[in-house]
Amino acid sequence: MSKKVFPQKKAVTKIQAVIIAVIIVVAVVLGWFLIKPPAPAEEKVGVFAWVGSDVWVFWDPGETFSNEISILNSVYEGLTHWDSVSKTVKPLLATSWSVSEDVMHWTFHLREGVKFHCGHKFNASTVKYSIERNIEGGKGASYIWACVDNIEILDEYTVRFNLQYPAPLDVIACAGYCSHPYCPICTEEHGHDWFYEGHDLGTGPYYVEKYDKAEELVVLRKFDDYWGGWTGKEFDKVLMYAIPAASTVRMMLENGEVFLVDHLPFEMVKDMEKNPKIRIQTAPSWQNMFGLLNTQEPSPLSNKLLRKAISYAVPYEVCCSEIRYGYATQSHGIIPAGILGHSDTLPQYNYNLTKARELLAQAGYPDGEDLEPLVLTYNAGDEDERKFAEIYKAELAKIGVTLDIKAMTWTAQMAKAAGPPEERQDIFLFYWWPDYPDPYSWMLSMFHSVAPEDIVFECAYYDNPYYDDLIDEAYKVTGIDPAKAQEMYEEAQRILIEDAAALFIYDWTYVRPMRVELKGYIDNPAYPNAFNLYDMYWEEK
Amino acid sequence: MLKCLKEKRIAQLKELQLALHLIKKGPLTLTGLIIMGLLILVAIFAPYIAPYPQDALGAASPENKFELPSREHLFGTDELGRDIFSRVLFGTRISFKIAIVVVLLALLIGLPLGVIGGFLGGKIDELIMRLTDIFLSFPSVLLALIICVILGPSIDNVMIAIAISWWPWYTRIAHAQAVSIRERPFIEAAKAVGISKTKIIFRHIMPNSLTPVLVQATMDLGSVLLTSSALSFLGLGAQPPQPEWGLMTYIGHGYLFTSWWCSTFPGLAIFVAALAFNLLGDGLRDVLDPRTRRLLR
Repeated sequence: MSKKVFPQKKAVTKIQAVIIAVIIVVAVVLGWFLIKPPAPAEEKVGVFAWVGSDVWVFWDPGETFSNEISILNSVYEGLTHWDSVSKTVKPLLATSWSVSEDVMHWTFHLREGVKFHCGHKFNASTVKYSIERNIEGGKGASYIWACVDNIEILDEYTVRFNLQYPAPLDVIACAGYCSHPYCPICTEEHGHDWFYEGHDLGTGPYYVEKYDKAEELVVLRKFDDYWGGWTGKEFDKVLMYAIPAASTVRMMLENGEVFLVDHLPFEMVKDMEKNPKIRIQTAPSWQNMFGLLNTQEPSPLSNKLLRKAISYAVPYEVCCSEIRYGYATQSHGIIPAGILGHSDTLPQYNYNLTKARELLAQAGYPDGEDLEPLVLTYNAGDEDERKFAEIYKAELAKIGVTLDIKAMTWTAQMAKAAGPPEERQDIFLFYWWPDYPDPYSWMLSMFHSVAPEDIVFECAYYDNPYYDDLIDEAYKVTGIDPAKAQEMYEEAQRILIEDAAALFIYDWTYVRPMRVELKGYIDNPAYPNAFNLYDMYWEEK
Repeated sequence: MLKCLKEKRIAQLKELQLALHLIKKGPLTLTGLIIMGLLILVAIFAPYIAPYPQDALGAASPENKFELPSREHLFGTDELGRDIFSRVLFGTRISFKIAIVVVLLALLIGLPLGVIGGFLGGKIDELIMRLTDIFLSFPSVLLALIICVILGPSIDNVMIAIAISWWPWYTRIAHAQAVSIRERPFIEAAKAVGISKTKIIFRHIMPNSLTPVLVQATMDLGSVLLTSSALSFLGLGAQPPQPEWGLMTYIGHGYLFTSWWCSTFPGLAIFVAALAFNLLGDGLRDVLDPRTRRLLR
């Protein structure tokens, strides 16, 4: 019996294997195409840079007072908004408002359908809560609400401010700092420190997604439920870097890694003007540089004629053209153009050394004889101030006056200025810009008389009761009669100019280097260095 | 007596010959010496050599700013239109003044302390040396920085600050020398004769401890220059418009990308002067080191 041998059966033949493999490949490819999710629309990312470090200082909306508004002004919104084109107050979270005849009661009608980034509803009680919390906290620029006596809720979307004294509350509500309503529920729940971790509770078009303190990077994302709506052109995500080295930022801008920079040194700006991919946009600012002159004994500058003499020794035009490369104009008084109180008709000191010598002789110091060296302090590291100091020293030397220049840290400079009169400086170089679109802060903060122990910025030590009354009155009538206020502020400035209480040097022009493809950026001097992210978009040629 | 004097003179001449021979043998020492000589001449005659002396004394002509190096302005002009060449020349005066004054001040404090401690020993020595240790435990630049911040920014304060952080080194060296010298027979002899301690310290110990301290001091001139420049670079030293090299380098570094010459030339001046001081110090050590002398004899 022979054993039947069955041929061994292969599990799969070669041909079958090939067929199976082909089927699997086809299935996978088909499956990929059928199941594949639709490609997400490409995210529009805007990248911005700030030259410097420690830019975002205050995160609690009740404490803001610094450069954090560069981004937070797109995260929070106020009741009103300053329109830099029409130079008027425009509605924002308030749709309309009215004021009583005595300017003591302001009623704001609020916008309906507005949500905070946390999802809670915006209404009158949130306005009352936020502003009262700011006043109680007393931090940052919260002093702007000092005129408010109490806040009444008339109905869900109407709120009334009762004041202690007449004040232009619609203008105050425009402020870039400490003026924004935020969600009371979440503020109570999370507390103050939570904001500093990089959170927000605003109503603005963008919310803070991430704050990387080590990298100095803030990431903002668009708020889908924003009441203003979205056209689709805006950035979905915004990256904001703070980088200390200007040269690095310049390279990033030229390579297209950054779209807009808050500022770059003028030498670099001039150099980049040739680059067709870069646009240099300029705009008037409300920031000015001046030198406060010590009007009190024992400073030799307590002599008014001497103050006038040295005012004629400032080469104003050279300062504008050489220090700021033409991006500045000589000041007319202390209030810059575009704000109540400014007037081009105010007298200016011009550069006239003959006149300076005459006045110097009249002051009792012919050719500077017997005059001890004048001490000028400036903030160490500020190139513009240093250049001014050196140019001014050279000019004063021509009329026989010696100037001692002292570069100091800001704190040391302030301590010296508030110290005993014999240790104070004679000239204090200074910048100022307002916290809300009103001239009172210039007139008050530097020139109103104060008790010696209360000196902060009053480093001209100016003491003129008539001037004090004039500006206090002007502040009160601003809300009722702006024309009258204008007249009074002009008169107050004429007094300052006649008394030569300061060297009125120049008003800045903002200079922003940006990519040509970036559209919609507008400088609003009421919100210095704040990027209007909601209006900006990228447009390839 | 006359013979004795003659012998002394011959010995001195031999010393001088040996020193010159050593200097000639090391071309680096010679280079250091030549640069130093030139720098001293520049420091003395700066007002006559500088093409625009007024630019170093505070004048400003901002309309001529950032001009490239040319025949009119060898090193170009700075951000206020001043001739950098003239300013660098005048800067030599400030730098030399700082280096020499600081080292002298530090020697004045450090040398007597070290010698007194080393000779007397005991509790006084302990006190002096522990104090020295405390000062040495701080990095000298950091200590100078702190003192400068407290005193306020100015060249005089920089000199005081660096001197305060510098003297302990000399105390250490002088102390070590004094300890070895006090055991020598001639000191024993002086003691036996009844010469007062003060006289022994200042007439015998100190002159004999001087050599290594002097060598160190010469070498330190360069380091002092670098430290003072660093403090000025940080805004704690010279004040504008003084033509101090460190300050000029600091101000110029802001314009490095557009105008390289503003900080390059003052920086090079610091480099050259520090190098010259160091080469000279090295050479001096060779000249005064008994081992090298023995080899040559």
